[in-house]
Amino acid sequence: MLRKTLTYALLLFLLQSGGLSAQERPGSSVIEDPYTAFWQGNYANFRLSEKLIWHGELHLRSTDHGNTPYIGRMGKIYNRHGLKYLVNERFTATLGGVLRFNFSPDPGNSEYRGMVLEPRIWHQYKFVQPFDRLMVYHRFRFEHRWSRSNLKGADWIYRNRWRYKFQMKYPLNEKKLVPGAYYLSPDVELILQTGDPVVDSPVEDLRLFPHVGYVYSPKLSLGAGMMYTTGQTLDAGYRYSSRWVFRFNLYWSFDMRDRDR
Amino acid sequence: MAFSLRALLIPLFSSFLLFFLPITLLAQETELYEGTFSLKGGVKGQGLYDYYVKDGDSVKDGDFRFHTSDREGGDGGPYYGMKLSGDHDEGRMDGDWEYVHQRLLPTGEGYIQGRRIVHDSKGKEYKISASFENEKADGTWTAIHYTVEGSEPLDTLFRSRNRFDEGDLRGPFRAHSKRRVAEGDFTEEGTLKNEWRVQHLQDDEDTLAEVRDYENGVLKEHYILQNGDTIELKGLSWGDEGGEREEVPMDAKYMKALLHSNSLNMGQKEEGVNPEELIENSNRFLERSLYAFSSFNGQEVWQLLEGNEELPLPKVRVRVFPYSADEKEELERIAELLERNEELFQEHYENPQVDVGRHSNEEVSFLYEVLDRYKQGNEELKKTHELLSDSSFLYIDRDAVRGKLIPRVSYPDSLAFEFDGEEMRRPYEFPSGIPDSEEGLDSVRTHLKAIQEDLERIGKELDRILEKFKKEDLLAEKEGELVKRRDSLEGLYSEGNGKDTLNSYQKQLAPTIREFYKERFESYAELGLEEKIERVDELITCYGEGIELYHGLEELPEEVKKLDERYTRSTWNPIHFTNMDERVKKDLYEAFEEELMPYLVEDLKSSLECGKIKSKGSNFGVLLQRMIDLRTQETKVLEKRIKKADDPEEIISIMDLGVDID
Repeated sequence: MLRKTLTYALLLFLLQSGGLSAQERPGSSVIEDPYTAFWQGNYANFRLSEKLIWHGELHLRSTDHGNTPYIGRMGKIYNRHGLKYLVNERFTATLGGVLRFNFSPDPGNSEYRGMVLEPRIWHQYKFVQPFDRLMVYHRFRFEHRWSRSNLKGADWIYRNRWRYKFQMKYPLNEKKLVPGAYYLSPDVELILQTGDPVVDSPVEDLRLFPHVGYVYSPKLSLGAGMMYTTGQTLDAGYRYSSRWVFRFNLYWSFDMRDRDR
Repeated sequence: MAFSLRALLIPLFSSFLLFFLPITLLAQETELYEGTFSLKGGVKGQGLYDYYVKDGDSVKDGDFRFHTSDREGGDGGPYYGMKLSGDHDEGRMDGDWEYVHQRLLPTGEGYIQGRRIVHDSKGKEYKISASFENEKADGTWTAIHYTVEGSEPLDTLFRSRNRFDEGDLRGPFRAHSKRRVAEGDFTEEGTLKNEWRVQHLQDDEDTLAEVRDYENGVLKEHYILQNGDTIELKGLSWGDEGGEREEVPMDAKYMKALLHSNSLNMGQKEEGVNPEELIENSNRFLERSLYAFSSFNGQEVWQLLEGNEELPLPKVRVRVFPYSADEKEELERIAELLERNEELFQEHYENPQVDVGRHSNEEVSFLYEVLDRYKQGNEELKKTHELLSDSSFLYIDRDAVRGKLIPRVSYPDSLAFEFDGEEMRRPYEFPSGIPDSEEGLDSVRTHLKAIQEDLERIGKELDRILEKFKKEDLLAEKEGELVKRRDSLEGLYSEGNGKDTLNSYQKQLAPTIREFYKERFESYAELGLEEKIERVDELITCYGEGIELYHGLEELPEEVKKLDERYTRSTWNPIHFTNMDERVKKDLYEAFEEELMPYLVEDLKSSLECGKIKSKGSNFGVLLQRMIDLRTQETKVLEKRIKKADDPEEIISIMDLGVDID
């Protein structure tokens, strides 16, 4: 299943990349100056039954603006929800929807809408490789997104996102990821995109996010770190955006089952 | 005409028939019995006698022979034999009779005689040669005791000879043994007359005899002849004074009375002769000699045969002093007091604990000495009572002799005694004794009563002291146990010295517990004996509680761990894909862990008290059990209340814990 998806993605990538923009193409890639952002992510799992978990995320993302880095203006508010199926303790599959609020890149500028919505359908497949102490996670996420720019009069575009995240968690002060454990987590995600609008920029984002985490309790873990991302811009594949994002995440896990407490 | 024999024979024969036929017609037909026969008293042997049957009874008539023999102690033991033989005339002993008693051992090699194997013998034989007329002793009787050697009589040990006439003694009487010779005479009435002399043969040429001179049964003179010298004997109230006299047998009672009356009148004894001893020896010899005709070794002889009466004893005439009712009553009361005092002596003086205790306790040693003093006095009074109650004193004027019989009793103001190797002396208030002037039995009774009362008081005191000994012994034993427990507890609640570490609960409590018990022990040590006896058990139990608490606390961490596991749930975490333990009923468990357990520990520490330690220790168990019970119950409401509670006591109330807290 996974192999087919990857093959399809690769083919799609090759097909899409076949047609180059008619614009002038510079001789080398252009890396844009990085901007800064601050993401505060809340990841919640609500266990509904033995096999079903409600997956909910709420991200508050700010970005630099003017002379203010990281938190110059509100960037996005992310709402991701889905129903997760626990195949077994090493593999889960989730299906749900996203509604992202994208705020004006230039607040006050009348050319921009103050906020536009971005709905998505997403599904992901996550499995884990447990070692003696180390945990390795593989997450395959697929998103089908409808988006438009904040510019007034912009049209909706449809794209598909193909995401693979490789993550490790290594507990530092405990032998396992148990309450009280600090862990080191290298985290790399490659996001590919396809769709009619994607001409020469299949690599939407490569995210490098090494961070540290702390398991406070079975219900709450925390993580923080600095992420560097880079990716091709949609309108010019030779142009790469880059940003430094400070991320602070809270991971919640609730058991909603009516059982022996 | 020629002499005709035929003519003579006919009248002769006719005369014969005429003479003898009635006789033969009148005479009974006797039969002979030969077989086992029992004399009176169950003496069994072989009998051979003639008898006839009249009115269904067999009547002995003619020759009678009885013999029995036995062997004592199996092989090697002596043979005993007895023979009785004589004639009966229509059931009555008549004619010569003989009694023989033998104690023989076989000697030498046996030989065959007929079909028997026969031995010679050695030993002793006793023989009474008697004669009866119409069952009454009549004629000269002898009793002889001699040794046997080689089956033949060898040496006469004793011989007594007397004449009887129709059952009465007539004399002259003579008896002799190896050491004594007695002679005397009787009146026609069978009373003693003239001199009765008992000669006591000496080893050397000295002569010694006791002489009793009687006139018609009345003792007129009594003296000792020693080497020609006369020593007068004046028995108290026994003189030749006048007064009515009664005829009494010269039996043991009379002999004793003679002895006592002289003993009471003894002054300083003459050197070389002891009149009391002499009289006693004479009495014994006379008794033996006079009874020799009717008994041997305490067994009656002639009464072994049915229908025979005792042989008469010689008679004397004495004054008789019957006991008055008052006298009897006094003697009875004295007897009761003496018996009671004897019981008290047995209870206290002969008590092994007292005997042991007097070596370790001064008071007991002293009281033992007092008892000993009383015992001596009591013994003297007992002898007095025995004498005065003796039947022989019927012949003694007790009013005249009582003063001599009643001992003078006096007591010192203080008593010496030995204790712990030291000679000591202590004053003691004895009762007033019996002064010289007292001659009445009431003085004896009163004094015995005073002794009894003091004995009872002393007895109670000894009981109290001995009880204390017992308690002290018991206390020593218990204190041994106490010290053992103390050492055990101190060892348990201390750390180091190779001992396993105390767990957290034990560590928290150890200093307080050590201090608590140290104070208890020191307080106990300062107590007096009686208080210690009262308290030792309680303290032993208290130490037991402390030891039990230690062991209970030892298990506590494990129990808490088990509870922790009960209150822990392992859940799969979807964020990290791992199983994580999470606390269930978090508020409840936190209340248990952070509020209640520390509270109970503090409560135990602050309210340590003997008798309550166990209950306080069990509080932990109560709490744990309640937590176990709540694990499976719905506790949302409870937890909400617990969360709002201000202090552990409120939580205890909310949880409805039945713990013992102060």
